[in-house]
Amino acid sequence: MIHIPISVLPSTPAVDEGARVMGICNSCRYCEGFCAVFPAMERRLTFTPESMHFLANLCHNCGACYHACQYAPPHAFAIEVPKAMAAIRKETYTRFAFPQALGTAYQQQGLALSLAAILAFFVIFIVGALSVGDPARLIEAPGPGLFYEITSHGLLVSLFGPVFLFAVSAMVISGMKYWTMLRASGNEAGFPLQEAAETAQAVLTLRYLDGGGDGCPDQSDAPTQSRRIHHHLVFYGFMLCLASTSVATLYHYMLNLPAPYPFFSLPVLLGTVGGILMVFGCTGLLATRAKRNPALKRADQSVMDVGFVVLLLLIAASGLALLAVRTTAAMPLVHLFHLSTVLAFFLLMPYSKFVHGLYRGIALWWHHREQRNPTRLKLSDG
Amino acid sequence: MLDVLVIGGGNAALCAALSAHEAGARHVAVYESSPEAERGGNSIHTRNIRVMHRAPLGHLSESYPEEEFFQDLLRVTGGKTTEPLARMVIEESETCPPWMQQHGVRFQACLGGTLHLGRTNNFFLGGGKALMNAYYRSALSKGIDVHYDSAATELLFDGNRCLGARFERNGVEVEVRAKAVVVASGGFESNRDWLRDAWGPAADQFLIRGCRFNQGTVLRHLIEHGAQSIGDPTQGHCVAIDARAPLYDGGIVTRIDCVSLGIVVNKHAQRFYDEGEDFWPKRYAIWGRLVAQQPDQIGYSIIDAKAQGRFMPPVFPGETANSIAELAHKLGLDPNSLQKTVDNYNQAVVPGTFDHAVLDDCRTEGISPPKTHWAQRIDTAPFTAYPLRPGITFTYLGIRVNDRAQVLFDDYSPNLFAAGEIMAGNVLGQGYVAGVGMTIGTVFGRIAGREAARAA
Repeated sequence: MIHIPISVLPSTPAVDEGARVMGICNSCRYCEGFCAVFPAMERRLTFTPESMHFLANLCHNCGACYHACQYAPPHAFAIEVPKAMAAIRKETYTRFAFPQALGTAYQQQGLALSLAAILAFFVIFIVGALSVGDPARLIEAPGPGLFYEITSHGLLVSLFGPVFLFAVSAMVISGMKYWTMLRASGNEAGFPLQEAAETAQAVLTLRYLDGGGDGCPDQSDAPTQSRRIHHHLVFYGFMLCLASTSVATLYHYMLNLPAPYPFFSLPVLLGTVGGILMVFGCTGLLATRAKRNPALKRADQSVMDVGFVVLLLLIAASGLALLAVRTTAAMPLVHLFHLSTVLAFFLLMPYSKFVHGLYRGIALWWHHREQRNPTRLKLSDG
Repeated sequence: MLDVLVIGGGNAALCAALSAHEAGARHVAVYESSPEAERGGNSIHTRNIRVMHRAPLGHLSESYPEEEFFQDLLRVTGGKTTEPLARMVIEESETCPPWMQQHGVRFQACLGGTLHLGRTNNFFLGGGKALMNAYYRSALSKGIDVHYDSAATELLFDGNRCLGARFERNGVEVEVRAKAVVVASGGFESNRDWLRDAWGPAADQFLIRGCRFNQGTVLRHLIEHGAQSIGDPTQGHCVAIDARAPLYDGGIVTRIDCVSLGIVVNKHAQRFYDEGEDFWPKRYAIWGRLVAQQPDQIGYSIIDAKAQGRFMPPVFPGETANSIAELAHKLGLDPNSLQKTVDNYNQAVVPGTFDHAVLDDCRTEGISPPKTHWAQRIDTAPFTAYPLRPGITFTYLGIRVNDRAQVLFDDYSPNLFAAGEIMAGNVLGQGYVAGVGMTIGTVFGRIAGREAARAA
């Protein structure tokens, strides 16, 4: 007898389509060598909404399976795994968002929310800066204190602290909800060290955006590493910027060394290299997205996808601009704009495309656990 | 004027075009009957190539010597093969994987559920369509012209010398002249009239597992022009597939893998063959013909709850019921007859130890036909049934060639070569062993291309 999983999540048209597609893929299995989705699929015979929210987040949308598919349109089966999975991921991002209403709002009005947040923070900063001290300092070259002459350290901490804490808490809650769903889907023994190592390797090398070795067939059926490289320019650039901020925080509190720092200091060098990587990566992602095969992008998700990359690009570019103009009269406004983009980014982080990393990381972790457990199926080819 | 004209767009055709280019032909063109989105013929449904190897080769374990490969071929064809050509194909198969990789083809370990092929068959990463995509990319990068929507209507001859061909492209006739021509345009399995000529009215119920473009136009034209044929039009690769499969291009997913776990009955609810005779490879090869010989060419594979989850998941859900009578009703079979068949079978099952991985001792006694292995009572609801029809993969009637792939008329043509399904009957007169169609297509495609370049 087979174990029939019980479903708690409701079905939706996107989940139904995903289950239909996986049912056909599971009879074929030619794509098994491309990525994590297909080996995970082969451990299942029925595709519940839970399993679809799992498989969909394993999918990196590389497109290899689409181009290899004997059942892709014009075949009557009309199998388009990347599209089916993308539609479900979109539902993961709202269903597991905390609070869910914000997730829904972002899905509907992501671009407007991003722009509104940037603008609102920009206004708050200017009003805040005007209310204390001389208004003229916003259009004059700053003194030796640089940034803190415009916005006090206390103001920054009181704004960034709560926003950052909120974003991190919201994502922790989302991640826990998602992990709980996965845990409930099967009683798999844990192998924490191996799972951690395998997941870290998959994430740090973006292993599953390689189309099974040669790259993503992004524009045509020809594989290219372009998306993988550009994505990880952004990823590592972002990490360097995060490291820059962390080092600066340590300097401030531990060494009693407040900003500004000279160009040849650890925080500025980390931030500069990180910013440059992000600008190249974001530009590359936007450029290749424009040429991407229509089968690999959904019109209803371009705002979310493009909006997220544009926001990252704005942060990186305004950060670099700030470095360039930090002793000039343009500095105060560029500084406030940069702060606004960073704050908006953090505030919307739990609802934006940023969470693809959260759910994919957790899904990969669960995948590596599953793969270390023997399959429960007793399929034989006898 | 072209140096080499290749008619067809599947594996053998692309191997021929690439090989002709490698051998020095500069003006090479491929004429494929399908639109670009459906290019590649039946090759897009394939997943591996059988290759001999003296030592572990890439994902292939151990060794697969020439003699063992030949004996495998001899066994399935019952001797209906041309030994020198078969041995040449086998010997040359060893050189295929590196050559394929040069053209962008990638391999992977054998797929889940195919462990028994891990030593003999090299699996394409992503399957046959990914393989064809790689070949087309390689061809285009070398300046080989590819014309889609171009179905050959006739070849042009001066005696045994081929001058070129005519194609119909979007309703317009195009004449193409070439110094040498390769025909790699497949068999005739998509041509219902021809199937009916060979099989009689039963052919009306056949489903075509491959593409709709294999009309056999070039094959027929060559035979009419005096090319010597080889093989029997009723021979081909014919398996029992889900009766609800699409008419064309159902491919791999329409196979039904639970035959050996239950019983199979015809439209009169009668069993007609030993469901537990042998493992998958043989079962796969014979059940299409068995169903084709039943009234209305329909069968029903019936299992109970014990078999659930033990076989490769079928693409369409089965018909389920909580009693045999209810199942019969849903299938449109006579409930009393089906109940009687199941009761007789259940009573004949003798106790044994079920093991699907070996030819176990679960069998029947005292009924005809017997079930000689994996026989378990069908007694646990819910009961499930899958309807079966014959599904044609490809046909073996072909054109006789020599070891240089030259087409034989009264004598061998100096500049007309054949590769792939259109000549596979030279090696494969009947039966089938997994992956050998791609071996024949790749080896003969490369030979045909090379020889065509020499003749050009």
